Amino acid sequence: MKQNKSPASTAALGGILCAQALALSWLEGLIPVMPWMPPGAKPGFSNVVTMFAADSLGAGMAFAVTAVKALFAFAVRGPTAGAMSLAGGALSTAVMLLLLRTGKEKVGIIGISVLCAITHNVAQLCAAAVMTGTPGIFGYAPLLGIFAAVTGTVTGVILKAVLPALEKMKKYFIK
Amino acid sequence: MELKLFRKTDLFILLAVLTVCAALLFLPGLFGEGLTAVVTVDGAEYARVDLDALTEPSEIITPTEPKTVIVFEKGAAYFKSSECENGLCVAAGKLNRKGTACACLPARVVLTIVGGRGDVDAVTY
Repeated sequence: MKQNKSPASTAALGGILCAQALALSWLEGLIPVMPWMPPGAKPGFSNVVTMFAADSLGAGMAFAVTAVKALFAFAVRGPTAGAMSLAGGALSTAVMLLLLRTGKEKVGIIGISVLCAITHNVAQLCAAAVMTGTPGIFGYAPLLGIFAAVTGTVTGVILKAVLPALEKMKKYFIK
Repeated sequence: MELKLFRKTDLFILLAVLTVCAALLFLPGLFGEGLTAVVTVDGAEYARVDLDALTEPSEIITPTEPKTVIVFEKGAAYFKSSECENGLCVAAGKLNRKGTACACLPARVVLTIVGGRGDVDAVTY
């Protein structure tokens, strides 16, 4: 089947995906802070978009979405937020792509999602430790690990649920 | 290859992550909060105890008049008993968070918790 894929339509689709990722990011920011969680721990709903991009559109699009998210965080919340977003996003997207390339027979969406969530947290903990100079920040690791397992599963389930809609959206741009 | 929602490996991943994290959380002192209890007598530091490293409680009796008995256990410190007349120090209960303190004024003994994760008392936004 001949794929009708012009740079313009790819860019348009990319724009929509980035907007979706940012919208999801904003939505989850509305959830009230739970006192027992480390500040900044998030459900990561925008990873639904990144995972879709990674699986269906390739590394370029996945990293583009990640970069736009980080850039947005930098512009709106400052360099610290931007750096944290980039650190977590870059490593987690890389792991995502690796798992999708090599592990589809063994790992499902939930497994990939949980592993990416953990990677995201680990990368951010490292970035935070470097920025604040306190290795004690790793004390959050076990709690974040459990949180990552839960949110990874939730995100994975959401992706499975919206996949048909996302595919339909993609077909609109890339026939 | 089709991307499915849940494969067998996913279950192992989930279980592995949860057990590792749970184990780390309950491993004594490994991811401790760095809670330290400091006892001062007459303003001078008398004892400093790492509360995370304790496996069983320990007690000290302050060399003051009236005497007080302070207990250090994993994650908390408190006045167990005192010869003072009002007993407010004992009534203060267990201290387990950074920045909390209590004192026996007649004995001029102050018990403070330093270190530890800075906790918020409440969140409003």
